[in-house]
Amino acid sequence: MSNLVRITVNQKEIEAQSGANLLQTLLDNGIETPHFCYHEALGPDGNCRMCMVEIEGQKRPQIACDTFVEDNMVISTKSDNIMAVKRSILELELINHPVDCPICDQAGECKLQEYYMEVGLYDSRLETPKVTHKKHIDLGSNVMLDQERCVLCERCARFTTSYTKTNELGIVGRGDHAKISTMPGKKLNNPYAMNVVDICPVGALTSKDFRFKQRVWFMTATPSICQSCAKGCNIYIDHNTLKYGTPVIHRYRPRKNLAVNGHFICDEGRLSFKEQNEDDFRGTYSRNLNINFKKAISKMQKLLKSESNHTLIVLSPSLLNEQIASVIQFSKIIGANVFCPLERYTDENFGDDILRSNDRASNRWTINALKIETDYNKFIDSLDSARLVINFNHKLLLNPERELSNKLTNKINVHFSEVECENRQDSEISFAYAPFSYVSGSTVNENGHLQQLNAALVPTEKKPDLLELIHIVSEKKVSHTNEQIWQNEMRDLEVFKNINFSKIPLGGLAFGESNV
Amino acid sequence: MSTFTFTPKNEEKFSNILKKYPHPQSLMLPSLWLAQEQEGFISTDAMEYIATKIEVAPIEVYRVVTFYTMFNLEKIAPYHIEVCKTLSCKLCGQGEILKYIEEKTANSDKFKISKVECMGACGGAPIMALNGVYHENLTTSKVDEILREIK
Amino acid sequence: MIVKIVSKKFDIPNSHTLEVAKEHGAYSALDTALLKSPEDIINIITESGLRGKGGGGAPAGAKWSLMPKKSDKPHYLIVNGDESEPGTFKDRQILQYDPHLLIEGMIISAYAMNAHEAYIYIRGEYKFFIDRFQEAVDEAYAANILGDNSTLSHKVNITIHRGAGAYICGEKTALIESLEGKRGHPRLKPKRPEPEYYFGNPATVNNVETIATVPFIVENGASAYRQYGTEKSPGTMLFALSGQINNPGVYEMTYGSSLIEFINEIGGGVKNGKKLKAVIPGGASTPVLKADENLACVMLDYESMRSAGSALGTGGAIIMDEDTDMVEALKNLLEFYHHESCGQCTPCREGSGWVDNIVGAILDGVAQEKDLDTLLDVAKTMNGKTICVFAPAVAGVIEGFLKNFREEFENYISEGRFVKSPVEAVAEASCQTSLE
Repeated sequence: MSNLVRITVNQKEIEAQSGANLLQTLLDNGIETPHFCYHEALGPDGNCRMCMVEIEGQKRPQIACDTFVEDNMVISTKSDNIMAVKRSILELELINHPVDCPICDQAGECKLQEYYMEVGLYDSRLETPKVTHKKHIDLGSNVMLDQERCVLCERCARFTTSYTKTNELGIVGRGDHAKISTMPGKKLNNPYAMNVVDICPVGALTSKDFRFKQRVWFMTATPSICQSCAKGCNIYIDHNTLKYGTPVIHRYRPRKNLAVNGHFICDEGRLSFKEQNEDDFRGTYSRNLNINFKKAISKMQKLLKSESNHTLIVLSPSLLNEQIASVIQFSKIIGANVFCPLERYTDENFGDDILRSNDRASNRWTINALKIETDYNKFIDSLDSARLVINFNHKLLLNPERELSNKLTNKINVHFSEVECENRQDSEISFAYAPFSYVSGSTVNENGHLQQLNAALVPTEKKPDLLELIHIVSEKKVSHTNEQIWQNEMRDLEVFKNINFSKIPLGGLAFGESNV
Repeated sequence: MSTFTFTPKNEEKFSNILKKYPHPQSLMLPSLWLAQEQEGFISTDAMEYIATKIEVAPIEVYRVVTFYTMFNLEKIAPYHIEVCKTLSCKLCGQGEILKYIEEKTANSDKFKISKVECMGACGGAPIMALNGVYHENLTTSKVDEILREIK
Repeated sequence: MIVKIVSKKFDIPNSHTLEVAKEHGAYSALDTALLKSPEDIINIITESGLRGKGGGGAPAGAKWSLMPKKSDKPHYLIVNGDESEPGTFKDRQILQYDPHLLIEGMIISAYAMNAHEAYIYIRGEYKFFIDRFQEAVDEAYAANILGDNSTLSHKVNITIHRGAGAYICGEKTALIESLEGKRGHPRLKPKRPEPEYYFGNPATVNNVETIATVPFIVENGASAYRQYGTEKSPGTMLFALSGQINNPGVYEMTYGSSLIEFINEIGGGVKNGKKLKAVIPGGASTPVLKADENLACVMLDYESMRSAGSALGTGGAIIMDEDTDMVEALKNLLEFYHHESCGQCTPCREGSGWVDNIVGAILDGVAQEKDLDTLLDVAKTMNGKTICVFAPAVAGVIEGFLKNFREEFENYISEGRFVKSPVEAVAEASCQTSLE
């Protein structure tokens, strides 16, 4: 039951939900309110005291995270008084902080730095020694702990208690000798462990994988969607192009989407950025020999003509919507049946009741919505009468087991793959194409949520855009840009008819929602 | 796997105490006292054992043990002398008594001398506790007497 | 001045045993109490003006009124025996010399708040007193006063919960956290008056001495208690003397007694014939009072102490003579607070360490004038911005020392050593101002 009331913040009236958390309300309204221990996903803790605000009628400043919106509240976050309070709290946070920014990965995305610029800007008056602790403790799961930098906000401990329920972390000791620790001899060990690196507001918890690799202000953050499973967690792709070098993705970070993944992503998805950086492609092959791209194309087109009506297409359920639409159009032009067997994309051990899905296909929903054939036996039946098999990155055909492999030996195999094709020696032609971080497009997650991916890197000659490849192979009969695909090929598909691709919001569109 | 278990006697005590509280978690401190009486200190194994018995995560037991000053994480010398250092005792000659105690026990490894905060015996300052037993109104001769009984 | 309400039996040999205690009136209030309704009991306690004797001085009746009258949840009485305030050693006297009085008080108080379970949290170091109290509890169970087999119309169980060395567990919400098996972290305070909660069940926390006073009040009536003390601070309290005093100890006196008379007459004056320099009146967390002409007008009640710029606290007075180095004294206290801060919230955790270090630097002769400003500034940040009153107490302590003895600090800064300042004799002074 919504109960909107009016409150005044810094002399401006805003509408707010009665009883809502005041700090979250301020943050939602873009009012800068420094805080450490509060986190939207973990709730308030009330220990950092940084979020103090002035409330008319209250003798003392109050912490906003433990205050609830009431009608006619009058709040100041900017008065001289409250600024002095915030400055003094920040000063105390920094008293025992090593201030080793020059060697700290958090620099550039550190709350202590940020708040110092916002409410600090004072000269240190510390003349006595700081408390010291252990630095660079390997907690396991790619997380490094620096106990000195910790502001004891307890977010990480609360994460392992309430989110993953694995209880590895906690504050031990007392007073100013308190520090974050695990049980003696134990490590941080759960599938979401690296999220603590993001929720830590300072450089106490950092990614071992990212350690000393790149200063954050040199990176660009591109919003995209993780493709490791059907959950479709929202991510930022942090990347840059090294001077004189190649574009590199340095890490993924979670992107907040309350409708999909909340504030977190799993470690496996987080580390899957490495696959995007693989640069081992040497272009197009025929059997084990490198061949020139133009030759490969002409060879392909000859095959299509000679094996027309005896061609079978298999596509990966992790292709983007636009890529699927393009393949389907292509299949219609060459008169081939399209299959997407379920095999190889289900991992019973992967899914959990937090974020991870057993379905490792990122675009399963579209496969089902478009009624693409998924039955393995039907695929085998069709395979028997086919002569040319074109595989668009389906794992089953990239690495078939013996029985299927035997059947495929008598066929002409053509592969379009993101990674080095494993059975290159058996494929007549293998084309490499750029993985998802190189292109924009969209996928639909297992709950029918349509989400947009943005290109972080740029396709190259060796790793061209798949749409472009199909466009060329089909003698330009299939569209080659997202815009055209949505205007043409996807307009024919019932499920996507009412979507305006250029206006998909950053948070995605729920199934059935139209934005035309 | 934890190799620590309560002795049958302590197990019985635990069961009796359990009845007095609405939730096993309240048995955190009582269990830790039983474990320390049993082993002389709180081992990691004991922490894991207690965690299971009172239905909390092991890290919670570790957090509690490191919060309260009276629990030892390691075995200590057989005679623990705690000398109060807070104001009333300080005003009544704690400094000299501590020095005297340290001199008299310097050549023995049977003693651990700790300076602790107010023990609640200010009227009898200066004071010390020997293995938890208070000795108030200390003088050098009283200290001699106490140490004589041990040696 | 001396009136014995809770300390009535302290000098009787074996007063801790049920037999002797009963001979001298133990459990005589139970009959009266259990014939009244719980609401009546709360009214009597409210009328009596009984104030909490753990340091806060909040009206006990008002606290008890916060308990729900009826609920489907069990209610709990939790007695605070975590006595750890430096200069305080009074609750242990009750545990040692009249445990049955406390048991009686616990039964009546539990009845008043519809509780059948009572816990008493006693500090870990008090092993002797825990054992002594347990013996009395065992006697009470054996005599069917306590427990399921109790012959009383209201059955109460008492369980002793031993602490393990943390001053902050004397803070009532930290105490409950500790009782729930956790670290003693004080809880965030509710917006509106509410009872405390033990595992989500309504609970009230009261100091040992407060509960021990209940039998007298219930048996003799509110006005019997009010005949002693002052209007706003009625009754008596176990006051204590320690430090450089001839007769240290615990003395039950009426509120409103003169502090100076307490020190000189009952306390026998400052040791070794020295002059009185300073008094910390109510346990370490109360601001220090200078022994000047104003001291003669300071009375041992909450209001007088407040006007004097200090607080009554636990009534445990620490006496300092003319040779006391006040900078060292402050350092001693700040070390205490530094060790005892629970570390949960920023201003206290970091502030208590910093102020300790600053005063240490002053003592080492390496501080400057601006460090005194920093000291007072940090004290200000520790006041009013934390989860509990520990940090504000530290702030008050620092401000008290600096207000009254600033020259000594400045001497350390300029000369690097203790310079004794002259002290006036207040031994013979009497209060010149007329009392309202």
